[in-house]
Amino acid sequence: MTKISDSKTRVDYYAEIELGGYLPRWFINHELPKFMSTSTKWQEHFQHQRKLNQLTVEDGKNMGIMLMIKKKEESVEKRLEAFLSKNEALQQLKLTRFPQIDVMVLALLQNKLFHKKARGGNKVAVEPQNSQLARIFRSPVSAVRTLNDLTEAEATKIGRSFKLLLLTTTEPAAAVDAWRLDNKVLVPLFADHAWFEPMINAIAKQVSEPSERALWKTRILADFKLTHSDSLKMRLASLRSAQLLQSSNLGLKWRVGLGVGLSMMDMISDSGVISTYQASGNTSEAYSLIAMIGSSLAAQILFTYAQNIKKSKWVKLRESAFIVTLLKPAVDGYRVATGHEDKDSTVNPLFEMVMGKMAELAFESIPGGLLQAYMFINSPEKTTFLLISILISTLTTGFASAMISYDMDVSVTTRKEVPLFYGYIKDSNTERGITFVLLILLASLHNLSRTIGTALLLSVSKELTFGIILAEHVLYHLYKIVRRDYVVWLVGLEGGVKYMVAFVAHSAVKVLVDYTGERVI
Amino acid sequence: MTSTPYTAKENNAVNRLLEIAEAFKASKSKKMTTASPLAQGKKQITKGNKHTITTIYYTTNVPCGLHELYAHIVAEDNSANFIEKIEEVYNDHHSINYYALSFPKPVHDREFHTSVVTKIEAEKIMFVSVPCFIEEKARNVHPDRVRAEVRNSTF
Repeated sequence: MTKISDSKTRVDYYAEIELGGYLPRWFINHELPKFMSTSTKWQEHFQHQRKLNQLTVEDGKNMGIMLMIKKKEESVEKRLEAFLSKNEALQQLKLTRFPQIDVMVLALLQNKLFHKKARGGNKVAVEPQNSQLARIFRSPVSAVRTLNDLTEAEATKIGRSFKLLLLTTTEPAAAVDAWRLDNKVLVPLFADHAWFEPMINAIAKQVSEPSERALWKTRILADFKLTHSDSLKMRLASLRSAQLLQSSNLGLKWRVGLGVGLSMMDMISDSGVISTYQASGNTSEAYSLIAMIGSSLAAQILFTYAQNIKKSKWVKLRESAFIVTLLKPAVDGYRVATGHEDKDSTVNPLFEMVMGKMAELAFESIPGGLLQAYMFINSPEKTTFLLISILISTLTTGFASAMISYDMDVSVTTRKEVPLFYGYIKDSNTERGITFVLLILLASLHNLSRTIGTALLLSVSKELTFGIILAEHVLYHLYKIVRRDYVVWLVGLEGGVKYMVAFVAHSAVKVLVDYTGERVI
Repeated sequence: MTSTPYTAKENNAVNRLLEIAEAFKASKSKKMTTASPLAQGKKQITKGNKHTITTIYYTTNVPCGLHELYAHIVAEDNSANFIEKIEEVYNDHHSINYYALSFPKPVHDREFHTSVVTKIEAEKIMFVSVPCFIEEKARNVHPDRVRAEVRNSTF
């Protein structure tokens, strides 16, 4: 135990254990936490004793994590009650400033959009029955109210509104930021208590993390009083836990599912188009499409190499395998939604996901759409199928482009880094929804007009078209070089990789801005 | 600080464990899931003469002063974590611990008999737990328990 400061001690624990007989590796992995829970218990004990004015950012994070540690057969209500009965800082906050904090945190931890109906058909929710409170419940929580004045129903409403934001944002931190901005009454709480935001961030991150299921099981195994008869109970409890998590991970599932779905659909449609072109004798077009897919994969592999440049060759190989097997969008979506942190990566998971999507759009979807439009214009048979295919391709391009814009804009990190640009999407759920739909329409229509224009020009003269595109790109790269903005943003990369990534990234951005009006800087 | 001088065996135990800690830091280890996200863990699994030897490391920051934490540890009663725990004070820096842990069936429960040596420095306190080097007292034999070893363990 080493003194860090007067109020902080680091505990380093080393143990070399021989358990005296053969035990399978998985069993050891489950049992080891038993030896390792001691100092965490000390940490929890002293964390609870911290006073409100002593709390720091680190305390907030730790409290959030502690609030999310589940124990065997313990309900959320019991967990929160036990936590609040021990935690001096939150007790102090409840007494002095925010009487309904327990109600709000309970609704937040329950992490449900809607409450289940009881068998009799009545709602279990804390929804008020009398008309005055019912009115308050339906109306948004007024900005002029203070934390002290909040009613139980209002606190529940605020807590419950968090789930929807978690579903509609990519990163847990972005959901917390939107929650703060959407509930003006909480602004003083965030402003005056530096620990509050990290606490909610930690809760949001844990709620989005399916591995908490594994952690939960570990906690059960770490219970020293576990007997043989408990194993069945444990399995049953585990199933119940899985059901709860199933409902709380909707946002994550939606994002990962969408990533897998779009990738698979893209692969199927591309394969179909290639075989159609080959069957109809348009082999050069088929090869063009194969080249587009190849260049998209190559660009993504280059970005992945740069992202994992500090890591082992096995990690680079694994990440490249995700790209080749088309699982990368799902993996990226998972990492972003769970707030994955990796200090050895070059950029954060959100930027990695955006780079991957940009490569896919710029080198495959947009040129593919252009090829389809060109084929349609020059085809003697203008079938409805080809037209619908172009429209679908335009819409998916618009959707992917809007996703990039939306994710980058609502991200807390980018809003803090570039406040003059990001923040154009407003903070309420309705406004965000409307903006997202408009972004899709804007990007799709922009893509359609530019694609048709280029395809018409291509039909007139290939040389002129490629000449114009090349000239535009050369000018754009020269402009970036003159502004000394070519590689300056690539922190953590050196040598040839830096210039290759810069070249590919600038080319991709140029295509995206030209063909979808992408709003990313 | 303690008044009883440290024996050669006690000093050896402390030094050996510090060496193990240094060696662990210098060598490759795998990330290990801990019982709580508050702690970060690593592990190394090696083959011993007979059985697998696992070396684990984890670290946490406790929000209190060093001596406040030490006082809490000394006063803490953690016997509920064990199916049996007997602690005998040997001298002011050495205690002998016998304890047994329940393992889920069909695995047999494990028992440990260890010497715990405490070393207090100005800004550091170390607890070292090694196989007991004081002769063991006669005690009830539990045929259903397997004698395990915390070969070296330190804070």
